[in-house]
Amino acid sequence: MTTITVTLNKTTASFSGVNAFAGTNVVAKDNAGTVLPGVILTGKETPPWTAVFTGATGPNLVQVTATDLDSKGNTIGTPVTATETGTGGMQQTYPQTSGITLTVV
Amino acid sequence: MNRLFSLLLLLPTITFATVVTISWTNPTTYTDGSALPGTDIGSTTVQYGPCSTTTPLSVTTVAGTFTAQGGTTHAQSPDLPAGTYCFQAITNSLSQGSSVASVAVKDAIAKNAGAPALATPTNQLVTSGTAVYLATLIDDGWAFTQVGTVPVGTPCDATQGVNQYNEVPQKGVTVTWQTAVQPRSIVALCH
Repeated sequence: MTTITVTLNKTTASFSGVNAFAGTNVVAKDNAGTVLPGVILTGKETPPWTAVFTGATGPNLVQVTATDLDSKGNTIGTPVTATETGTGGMQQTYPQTSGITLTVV
Repeated sequence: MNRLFSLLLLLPTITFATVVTISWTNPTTYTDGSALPGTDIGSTTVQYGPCSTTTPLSVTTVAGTFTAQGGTTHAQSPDLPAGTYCFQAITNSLSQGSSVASVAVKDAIAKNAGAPALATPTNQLVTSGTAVYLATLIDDGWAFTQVGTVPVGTPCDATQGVNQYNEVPQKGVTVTWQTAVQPRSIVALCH
């Protein structure tokens, strides 16, 4: 099991939409490659703009996409994606054949 | 009672025994173009059965029927076993006295109620959950974020959806929103 903590960095930007900004939809793909249930952040979280996901281990890099939405679910701007850096997911191992010992009697 | 007429629709394969909700729009005219008051609609009978293998689709054999009384525009099927079904709706208009029975066949046809327009086939949401989601397309798949709930039994559109989720038309549906984001398009697990 892994804990994926996502904190959004926010700046103030203008947009010309009819509906007001309502939240940021955050979806994450865990190290096993599974898309986890998303969450909508509004800034009222503690700490603000932070989501915590529980994922599974695996060989993949965690990927998170944040999409700013208006009150009707319309996308504002361009979704932002971040991918895990560093060592990444747990590397899988397998019994690799490295040679043969042959005995004939 | 003066019976008629139908439109056909194909429902996707039903995996489990389930109740299917069919909705339609009642006709407003007879087939001769004269007005058909809503009060003259006695009932609507929905027939179901196997689909034809050729187009236009039809119910090859009527396996069963279910009926909505009066001007009701939806009805639920009995619990159907797994399979693929076609449905056709028949509007039964009320005749005035015995006049319909006494007229010629041609006239009777002319006075048949117009065809009801069947709405998109709908399936019933079952107890696997009442959550509705915002579907988001990410690089190689779909992600789902719960945004609210709907009552058990809310119809969903079997023809629209992604993965195992189907769209839930919001018209006439009470959505209990859990987020400030209230998308126009929401999906749910439907059976």
